[in-house]
Amino acid sequence: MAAALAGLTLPAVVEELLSEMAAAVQENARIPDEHLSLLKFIFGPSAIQALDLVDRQSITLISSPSGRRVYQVLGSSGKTYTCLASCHYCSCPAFAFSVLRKSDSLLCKHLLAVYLSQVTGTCRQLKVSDKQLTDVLFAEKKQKA
Amino acid sequence: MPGGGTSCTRKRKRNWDIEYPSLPGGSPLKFRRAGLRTVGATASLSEAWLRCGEGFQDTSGTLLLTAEKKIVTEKHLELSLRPKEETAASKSTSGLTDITWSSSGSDVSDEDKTLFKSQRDNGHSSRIDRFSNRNKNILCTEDGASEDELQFIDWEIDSDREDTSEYNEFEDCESVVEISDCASCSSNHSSTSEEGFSELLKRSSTEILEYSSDSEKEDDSENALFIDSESSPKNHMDFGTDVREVMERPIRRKVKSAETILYMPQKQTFPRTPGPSAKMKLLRGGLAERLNGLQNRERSAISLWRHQCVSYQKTLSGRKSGILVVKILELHEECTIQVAMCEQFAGMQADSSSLGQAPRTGLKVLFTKETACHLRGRPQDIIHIYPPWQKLVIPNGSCPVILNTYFCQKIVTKEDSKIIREVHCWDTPLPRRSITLAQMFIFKNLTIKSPEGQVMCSDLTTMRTECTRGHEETKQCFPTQAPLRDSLLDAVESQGAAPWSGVKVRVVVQRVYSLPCRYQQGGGSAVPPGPDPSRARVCLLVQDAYGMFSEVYSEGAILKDQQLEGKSCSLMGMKVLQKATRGRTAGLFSLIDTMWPPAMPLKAPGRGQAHEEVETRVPPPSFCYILSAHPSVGRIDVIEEDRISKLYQPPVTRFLREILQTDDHSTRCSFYARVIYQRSQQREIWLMVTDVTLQMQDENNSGLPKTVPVCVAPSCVLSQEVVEALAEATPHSFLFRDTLRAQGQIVCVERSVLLLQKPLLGMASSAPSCELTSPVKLNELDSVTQVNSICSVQGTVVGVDESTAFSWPTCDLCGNERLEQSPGDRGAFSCGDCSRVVISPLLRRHLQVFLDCPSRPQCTVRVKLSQASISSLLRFAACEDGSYEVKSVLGKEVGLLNCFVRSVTTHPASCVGLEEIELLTAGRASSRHCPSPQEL
Repeated sequence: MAAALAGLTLPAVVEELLSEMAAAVQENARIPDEHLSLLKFIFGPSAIQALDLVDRQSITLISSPSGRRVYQVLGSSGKTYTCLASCHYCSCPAFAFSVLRKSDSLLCKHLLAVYLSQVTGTCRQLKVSDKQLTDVLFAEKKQKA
Repeated sequence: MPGGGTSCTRKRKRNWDIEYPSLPGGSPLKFRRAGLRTVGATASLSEAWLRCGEGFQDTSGTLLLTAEKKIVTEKHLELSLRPKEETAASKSTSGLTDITWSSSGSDVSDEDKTLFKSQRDNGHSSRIDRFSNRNKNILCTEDGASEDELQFIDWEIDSDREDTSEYNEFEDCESVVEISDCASCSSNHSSTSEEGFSELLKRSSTEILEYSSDSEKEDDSENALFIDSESSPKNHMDFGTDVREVMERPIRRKVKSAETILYMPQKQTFPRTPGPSAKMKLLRGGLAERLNGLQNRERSAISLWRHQCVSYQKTLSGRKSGILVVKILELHEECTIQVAMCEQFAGMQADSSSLGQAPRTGLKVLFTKETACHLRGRPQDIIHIYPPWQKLVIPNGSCPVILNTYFCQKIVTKEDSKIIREVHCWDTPLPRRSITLAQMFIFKNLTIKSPEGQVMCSDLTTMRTECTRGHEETKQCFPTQAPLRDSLLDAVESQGAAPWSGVKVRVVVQRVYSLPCRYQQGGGSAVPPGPDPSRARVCLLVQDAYGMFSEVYSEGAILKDQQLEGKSCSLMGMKVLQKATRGRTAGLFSLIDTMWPPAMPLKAPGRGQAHEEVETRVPPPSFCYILSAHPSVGRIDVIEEDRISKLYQPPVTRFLREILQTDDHSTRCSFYARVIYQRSQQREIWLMVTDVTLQMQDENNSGLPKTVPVCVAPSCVLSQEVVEALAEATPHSFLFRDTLRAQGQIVCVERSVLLLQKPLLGMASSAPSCELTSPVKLNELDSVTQVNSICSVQGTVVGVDESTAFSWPTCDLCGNERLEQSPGDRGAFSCGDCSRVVISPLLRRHLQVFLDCPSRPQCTVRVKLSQASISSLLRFAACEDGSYEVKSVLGKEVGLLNCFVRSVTTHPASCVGLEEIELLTAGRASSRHCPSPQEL
């Protein structure tokens, strides 16, 4: 990632913060307060929401034999959003607006939750067939259309 | 902040939230429905915005002269009249709708509001009073919205939108952008005459500028607007608001004009409860709840700080001493965060006199939008950042990053004209750097499990950095010529994650210990203790003259035992493996705490070679770096061979009685003790120890045990010497160094050291000795006897566990218990180990009896007897056929037996499981039978 980040600070900060959080979880099974407040500092209100999604174990990694992987995040409204595992993409409107259009946020809360669930190790895993995963992605597309 | 100009992005954002749901019908439509006047307002929105911008320009010049308090004050006296009237008007509007207003999760607490209000009333203002409450939104939903949604909508935040509204399609957003900036303007407009519009705009802009979110008035008027426009069929509405009891009053008595009575179609659909209970329900004990708690504390701190900017630093500074003084060199935006490339002045201590002479280091400082908005930093500005800022070192990043910069203040030293120029500067948006979305973040700690892996990883990074840095660094690679520095922190900051080149730091070695190679703090994958030196590495805990600690992992055999302890050494070729914090590596810090306060006054940070010393009553460090000596260039050299540094703090040994009597938990303690029994259990070793203070104490009054179990956890690496000593059957005295007292037990954990007793370096000659003159006494079994301890027991045999009683032959020479029956000769055994026929095998027996103990009358006491006790018990019970009569055993007195307590249960019945043991005594035969776990 380093090459893509020339001159940029924020992504490196986020990456390092997540790394430190992951290390803390591995060592003490607890995320220190200071990490939480940094998360809040960087992500603002999304931080709490993302943490809540993690608390509720709303993040599922769906993978299929072909190696396709997507994350599904169950939003607090009961809607499911699809986050891609290979780049920053979430199907939620906030991503489309705040991240893509306005560049106001680095991540939406769902993507942040995906990361945090990796940090805390609370990401659920679901293995499905290729067909099923295709359906997940396709359904997403249809929903958008 | 493209296009934002002087107006705070905050304002825009909030308005955007508010407007957003009313789409996609298009904003003009919405306004048209609401009534003629609003139509007019809508139609002129873009024009209004332009004028609004002008308004900013007109006023900002004066307003931004924040250093000029006088001017500001006057301005506000003048301004404070009109807004109040407006507030009244909008109050009535909102009241109509019967909305109850609730506070919601935002950066600003209600106290802040009050604070603002009072300040405004005083006509008193300064820029530090400004902040944003963009998150204070209340959402009105359409009829179809479910209660559930409302619950979390309630407490808002931007990205909740997608959950609450299915209209949040992309195209909606566009229209939002177009109109959002005018929101607050048009709100005013809806209840005022067309002519007053631009003037009003100016005024409200002014308010925004100076108070940013003080804006009770502003909020209200916005609300008025949106209530007004709510006849739109699709209206999920956010209201910037907070708790104001005025809002709950019925409005009608306040209504002034027809214009202010606005159509409010959906008042029944506001099922809200005021106050935090209506907030999104967070899982109890969850991370979100924790952050919420933190945030609440932070909020009040921020408001207090901004209120009493200067005086407050004193109280705050307890957490982390020091104000960071930086000069902004360059500013840009990434997302809404402002990134400032800064130059740091004079270490951590704010001292304006030292500006200019002290060494400067590069830093990146991140400001949130709100802070940036209130700070209005520009290149060349000097900024004071107050705690609790946090520093993040990015391994391959160029310089450390400062975050949590909630408390900062611009130090204005320039002439007025310059300030004005800057003000205009501020109007131009900062360059924004866009961030690629093409990749996910990769965090090393998830993929790489072991520290070795991390080392490898940082090696790679290092290589990468070196490649990019090119060859200009290569000539610095002669570490021996490097000047000797005395600050670890400086070295770490200047070198980043790369191996130190050209840097030598003078430190004092406080401790030397071994850590398992696969050791991860927390002990998850620690290796079992064992004499395998290849799986442990020697580590040094070092301290520099400023009091900063580091743990140094040595690679290979560059170190020899405790010889380094207390010596001044120079570190070269180190690289940072990790930043350790109190929360993350509690074990390391519990050790550091035993060396705090320092033995001698420390150097003050930032004062360089001045040798000016600060008080020793500084708070203990909250972080340190874990360094690794680079395999090829890493060196740790003793500087003064014969001298023990004054900074060195040897472990303070105490008597066991003192340790047990003080109940400080999770602290490290050191003591001399004799091991009188040991037992391996799974991966731990339990050592039963005692010293003279425990043995000598009076039977009745102390309540302290005569022996103490010490658990040697797998993470505690035992030296070869200790392992060998423990393998012997004779009792040894050890120095237990830096053991941890946790949950009432003494545990040897990582960084604890066991040493065969010998005088310790730097230790006074009056070192406590645990030389025991008389035989060791144990506590008798009683109601406070704990599992994994030892005790003595005596009593009457009341039962025999016949189901587990058996015997087996063993070799009379080697003790081999697996004798084979000789093929031809029935009854003869052969020993595989001795390769001979065992003519007279020794019979070993397993026997458990139940005792009636006077010390535990109501308790079932089951004792697994030793061979000797079995023999004496059965001596008179043998029948002629070689079997034993149970009856002849019952009623026999046994004891005093020394026993290990294997189990203590109180439920359903009180029951104690004991195993008779033999204590280690000097005169004992070497053929000790050490029970193996399988046998237990």
